[in-house]
Amino acid sequence: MKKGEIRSAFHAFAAWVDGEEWCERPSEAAPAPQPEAKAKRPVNRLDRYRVYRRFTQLVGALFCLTLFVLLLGTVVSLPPFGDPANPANNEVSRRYIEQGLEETGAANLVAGMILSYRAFDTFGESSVLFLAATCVTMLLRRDEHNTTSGDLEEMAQEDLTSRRDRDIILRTAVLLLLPMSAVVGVYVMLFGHISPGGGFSGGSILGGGMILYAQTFGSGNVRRFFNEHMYHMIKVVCLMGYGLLLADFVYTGVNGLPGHVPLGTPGHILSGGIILPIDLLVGFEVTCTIYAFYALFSKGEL
Amino acid sequence: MVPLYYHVPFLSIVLLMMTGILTSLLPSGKAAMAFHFVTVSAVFAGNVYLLWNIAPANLRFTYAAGILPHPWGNELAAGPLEAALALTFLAVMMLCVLGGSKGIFEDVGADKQNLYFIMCDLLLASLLAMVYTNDAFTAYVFIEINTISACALVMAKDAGETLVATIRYLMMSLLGSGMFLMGLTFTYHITGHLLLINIHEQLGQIIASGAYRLPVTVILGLMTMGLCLKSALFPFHTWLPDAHASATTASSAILSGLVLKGYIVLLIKVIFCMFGEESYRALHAGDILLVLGGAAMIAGSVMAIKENHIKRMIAYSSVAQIGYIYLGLGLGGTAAVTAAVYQIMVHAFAKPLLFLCAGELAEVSGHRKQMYYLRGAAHRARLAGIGFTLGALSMIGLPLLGGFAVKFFLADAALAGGWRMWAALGALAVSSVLNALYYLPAVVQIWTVMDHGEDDLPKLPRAYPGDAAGFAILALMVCCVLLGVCCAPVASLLSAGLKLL
Amino acid sequence: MELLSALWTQRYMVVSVLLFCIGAFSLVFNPNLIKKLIGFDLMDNAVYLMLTSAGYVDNRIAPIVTDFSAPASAAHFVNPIPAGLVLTGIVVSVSVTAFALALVVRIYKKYHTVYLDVIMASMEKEVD
Repeated sequence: MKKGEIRSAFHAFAAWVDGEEWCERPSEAAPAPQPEAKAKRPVNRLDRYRVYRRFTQLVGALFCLTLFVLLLGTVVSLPPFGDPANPANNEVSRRYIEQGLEETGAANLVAGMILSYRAFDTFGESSVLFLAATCVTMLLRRDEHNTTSGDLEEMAQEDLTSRRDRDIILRTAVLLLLPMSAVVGVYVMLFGHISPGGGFSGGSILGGGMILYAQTFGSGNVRRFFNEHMYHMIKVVCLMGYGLLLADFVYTGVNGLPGHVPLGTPGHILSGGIILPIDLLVGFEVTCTIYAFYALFSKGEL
Repeated sequence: MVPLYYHVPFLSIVLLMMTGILTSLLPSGKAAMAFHFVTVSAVFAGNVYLLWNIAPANLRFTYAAGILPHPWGNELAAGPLEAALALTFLAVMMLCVLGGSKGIFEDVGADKQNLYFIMCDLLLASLLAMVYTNDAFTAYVFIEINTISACALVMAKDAGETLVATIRYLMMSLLGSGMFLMGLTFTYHITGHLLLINIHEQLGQIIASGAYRLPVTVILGLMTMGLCLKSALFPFHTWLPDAHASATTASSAILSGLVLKGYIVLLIKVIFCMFGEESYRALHAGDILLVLGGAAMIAGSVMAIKENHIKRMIAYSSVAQIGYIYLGLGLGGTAAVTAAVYQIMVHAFAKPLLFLCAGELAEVSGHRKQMYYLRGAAHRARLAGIGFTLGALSMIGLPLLGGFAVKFFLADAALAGGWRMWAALGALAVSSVLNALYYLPAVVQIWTVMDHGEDDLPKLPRAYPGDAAGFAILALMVCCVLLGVCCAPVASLLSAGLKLL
Repeated sequence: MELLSALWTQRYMVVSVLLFCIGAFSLVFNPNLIKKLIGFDLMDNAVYLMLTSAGYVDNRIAPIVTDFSAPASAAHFVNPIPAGLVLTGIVVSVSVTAFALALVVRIYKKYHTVYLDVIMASMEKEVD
């Protein structure tokens, strides 16, 4: 192969890796024939942007390279990987491991840590999810701004095809998978404090199951047991419950009073104090939110 | 039992978050707004009670928001400085929403108005959390809440240009929070702590022993740069004018009055509570902030002079005003940092005043925001005209107004000598003149009586602001004047709080 | 040689730093909004890799107690704190990604492209 061929083959390969062939840049399509009046302005605005972009990309590449070298130097001088004598393995982590079980009642020390010692952060985290769901609703729930009649027609067409198209393999497979995803999801939520898992992972599994169901049987069927009103109710009840539990927990903790929720026997399902109820509440909130993301992105409504 | 006021910081944050969550059940925007006001007033009263109790005793306390105090669990810390800043943020938020409520109900779709107030509630909760937190990772989580809700406030006015402005704002913010998180990770690597107090202790030992020199510098660089990106310090300001100018009036006021300040408060915490001021300055980070702040003061004003869209002009002026804060932080020493915090408060009142008045003035000029169309607007909306004039004069630095107090404090603190004195005084002088160069023509323009004979402008009717907007503008004006007149007690409260950090 | 062996010891962190820089570059300088978002996710995941490697200790197991007869010993388990921070961080980046993707969907509906430079150019034309 000649040099030029190699280069063009490389460009084609790079474009393929980047996925460029699937999202054609609209600007690079042949420009529409310009009327006479526009001939006065030979430099396209986009060309100007492109030159500017080349320049910024060059500067940016240099900047990122410098950042990389700096960070590499930092990383080399950080404490060595896997060494028990590292500063991170200090009295804090020792206490979490040695007294975590006794103080939080949770055998999963990570769950014990994020839901009792650092419970405030985790409430913030759940609120971020709530916030994102609200923002997506704000952007994508159907209204006169973001929907055209063409979109509506397209959606009606899709509903029609999904109703007519009875793919037996898909339906049977989903019917087999659904109970499993439900059981696994609830298990992961319920046992989050004694084995790996927790509200967020369990909720994602349950939410994934709901998405699967909606994909195969149409969201109309989901709406029979889960509509927008229920979505809001579940979300609000779960988060409020979480907030109230946290407030009570912090109030008793700061005042040195015993907590209202008993810690239970370590290793049993009824243990871990507020961790189990919070895991369940967060789990249901996440289930709703994950499904709501799907429904809003695909249909613009729940 | 701990005293009741110890619970105020934690309860304020949780109460505001719960209000946001409950608001999603409310049917209309009006109800959501009423609920917002009820909660914010209650939280405001609580914080007044807190400040009332701790200011005379000059007390700063920590509060374990979990079961154990530092170094084990999440913690909040409150002192006079934090309480004063929280009160400022609460008051400004309330006035911004009140003043811009008409715009909110016009610009946001009818079934999405209650969602707007969710954003306001959570934004306020995250600001208070950033003010009160004593834990670096809590700060990160609430930075993200702040980012998302601030972006949502920009995009609430559902138009093409706001969407594009939002995504540009979001990308820059994400880069900033990513850098902050990376710095936090390195900090955890070398110190093994997440609570600011313990990080401070460990970092002090590390710096004294001379180990980990490069990591400490990189941590400082990453955290400072991340927060500067998010608070639009001069070379990183490119996202600001679009985001602030295209949003609805209330959002513009909230963004420039509050959101930028939250990150600066966090930077103050990073400097004072995490590194300690001497070690921060020993790495020359202060000098860099000083130079960038000075550059921002001049460059922001120059860009504002070139602008003839009134909201964009005010937005560019924010870039310059943020420069004042960084100038104070860069100068260092209690006096200069007090001046910086004072500027946070003054700007938090003056900039929303300008945005609200500009919104009113544009409305009586047929919703057009080019300077040309605003001629004589002040005669059509008297109160907004007076408010704009007062805000502009405060920005220029007329005595008896807040802006003058800030410039006086800054100049006073800069007199220590050396090249820093000349740099700071030069930047202050040049930027004051430049401020006058774009604010005075705007003031003259809005007060010029229109001559209808040769003008192509139609005769526009006079309009009176609604009761809510009028009250908000009046209250903001009173606050601007109060901060200018009673500068000594407020500044002494702030500097006492600063010494406790 | 010493540098090479140090790089090998810190291999996870080296990869994480590389990913962070690639992600940051893509986030800021790629005009394609979707690729910007991919850059953001790369960047965040790089930080999580870094955090996780901060908590790992050789020859120790995940911090879940299974033997309740004796108090847990810190010599058995890796550090639980970074794992908890990563859990929190992941939820945050999922939320941010969902929000940003929704924004991109709306922008695509309005301008029919995901290239920011094309959008900016067309916006400038609108103003003309």
